[in-house]
Amino acid sequence: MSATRRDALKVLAATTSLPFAAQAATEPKNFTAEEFAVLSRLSDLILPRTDTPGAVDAGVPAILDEAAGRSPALWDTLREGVASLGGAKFLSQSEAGQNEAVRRISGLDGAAPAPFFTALKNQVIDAYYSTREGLVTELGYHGNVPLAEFPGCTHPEHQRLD
Amino acid sequence: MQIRTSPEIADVLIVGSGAAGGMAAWNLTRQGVNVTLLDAGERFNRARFWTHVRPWEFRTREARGLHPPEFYLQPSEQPVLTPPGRPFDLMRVWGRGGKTNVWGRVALRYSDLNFREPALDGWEIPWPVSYAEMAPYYDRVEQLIGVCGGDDDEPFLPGSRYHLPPPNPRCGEYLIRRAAHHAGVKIVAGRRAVVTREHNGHAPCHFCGACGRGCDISAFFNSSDYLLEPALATGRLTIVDHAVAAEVLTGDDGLASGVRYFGRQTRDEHTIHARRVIVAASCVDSTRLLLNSRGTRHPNGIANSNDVIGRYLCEQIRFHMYGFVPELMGGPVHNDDGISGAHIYMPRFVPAGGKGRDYLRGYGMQFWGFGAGAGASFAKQLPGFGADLKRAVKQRYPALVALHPYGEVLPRADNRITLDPVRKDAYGIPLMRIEYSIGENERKMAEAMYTTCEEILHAAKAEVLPYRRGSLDVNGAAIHEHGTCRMGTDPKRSALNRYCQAHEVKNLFVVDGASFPTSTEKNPTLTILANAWRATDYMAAEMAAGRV
Repeated sequence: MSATRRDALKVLAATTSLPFAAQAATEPKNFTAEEFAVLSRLSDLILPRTDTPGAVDAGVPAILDEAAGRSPALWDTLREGVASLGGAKFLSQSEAGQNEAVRRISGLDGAAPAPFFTALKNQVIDAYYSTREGLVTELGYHGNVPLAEFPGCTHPEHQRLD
Repeated sequence: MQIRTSPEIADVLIVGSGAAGGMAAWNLTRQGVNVTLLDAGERFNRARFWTHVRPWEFRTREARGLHPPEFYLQPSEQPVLTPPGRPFDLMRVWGRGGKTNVWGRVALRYSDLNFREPALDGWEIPWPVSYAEMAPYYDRVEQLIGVCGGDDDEPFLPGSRYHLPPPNPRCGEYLIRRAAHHAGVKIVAGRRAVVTREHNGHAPCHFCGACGRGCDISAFFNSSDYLLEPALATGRLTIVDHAVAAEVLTGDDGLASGVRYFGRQTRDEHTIHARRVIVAASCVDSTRLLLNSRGTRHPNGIANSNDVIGRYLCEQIRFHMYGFVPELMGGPVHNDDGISGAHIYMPRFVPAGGKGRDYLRGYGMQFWGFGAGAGASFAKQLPGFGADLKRAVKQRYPALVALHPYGEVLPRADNRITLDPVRKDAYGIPLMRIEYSIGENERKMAEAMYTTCEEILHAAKAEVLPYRRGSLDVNGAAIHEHGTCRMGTDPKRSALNRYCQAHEVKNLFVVDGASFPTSTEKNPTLTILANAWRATDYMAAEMAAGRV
């Protein structure tokens, strides 16, 4: 393992707190370890752990890695975006510094969001809210089960016409 | 290449097994007619549907090399050509039942006004069929397949006595119904071909909400289980699977004499002879097949000396608006699956006194995707990131409402399907080219559609996700193609008579959506079923009388 890669994994371990459901540390198949570490951190900045699991807890980085394997365009966008944030150097910033760096590309300041940010945010959202952590634990989804009856709305106040 | 010719002559040969082909096969076999049917795929195996695979289980299954059935045809197998900058999104399913395996199940009757409108406004040719003539067939189809719905009876949505119980609307649907009421827009119960109680031996829906992946218990109408299987049980139906039709053959008399097709897996060329041919391969594919049927008697494609076939392609314009209703923001998360898709419907909306109506025809509206779904893609349109974003998503998740208006596109001669003179698919069949645009009428209608959506969402006090007024889905996205082999009373301006029989070739019938002179604003499948039943009743009577 190259020094860079080992360092990056160390940083990854340091910057992502222990996962809720002990997601196995994943070796990226497509991204370099450094890219993967930065993308993991960014995923958690976009959808962090709160009182429910965050993106890394939910295994989002591995899903991103798989998605990049299916889409060369996405792969390029994410790699170039990581580079634009300084690569592994991004991880050595303080949390406030990382947040500020993401804020600058997020569109929150009125400018258009960076295409890289939009691409990553979209991927993180699709991935996170398709996991059990994101969909069930966070949002409370409990569908796709057989029911004898479908109750629908049971609130008279919703059903009034005027 | 060796061409294999089937020694037998089919009494009736049907190309296609979706709603139209399935109905033709079912209706003819039950009347004692022997039928052979060509399907481009095979029966989908319900035991292998991923109806009950939850989103997070998809990846682990895929990692183990498992895949759900591939319903949709990969465009690369038979590409569709379009001019630069004018894409047409054609969805195709090759396999028994066709698109009815995965359709949206919206089952609406066309109204008397839908049928009469072209004659009233004079745009292109009139329908040769009235509601009065179609109504008994709607009755029969609804009783056969099972359609749940309410007792509404509206100018643009005729009532029915045969609906199965409709599912109760979700919270958001009631709230949108009220908002629409305040905006002067009437919302009625949705009508869906879902059996909400056991019906004709079909198991009732269990509300798991994953119909788009195919129903493992066949609780919604699909041509394979509801029509082809009963037809096979008569012993009078033979299905040839994996048969990719290339051409309707003609004899010296100019009549249809059979079909040339390719084995989808073997690529072998076959011919099968028939006394009568029914084309029901879906609007666009039926048209491709007819245009490629160029015998010496039919240099412009069979039954097309008047150059009508391939023209007048009409579909529907559509867009989507999303919002969050305040009553449900941050509230409890319910199971909102129901029968998947809308439990309510907006019949054609006409402002009081026709105010602001500067376009012909009109639009209706669907409302699928309310409340707690199996994902939260709306979150991509919320600003920012971090814990704030996560909170914003969670708060809005149960409150999502979605408006999906569908507007009629007028038929125009230059919206057309042709065959490429050079390029061919893997079977050697010429590729088709679709040239299609919307016009001024549709752009004006889209303005009114946006206004209606805005008024409903405003009345709901909804937080509306960003949208761009006037933007529309890519053409073809509504998957409701019509018009390219249309019925009519004038043989100069139509390809088929009022019973879907080719004016020029009496033993050729085209019974799918291609035969409709207009697209209307409605989902067509119920009318395709009713019309195919009506047309094949006529055909059976003509056969019995020895005229065809």
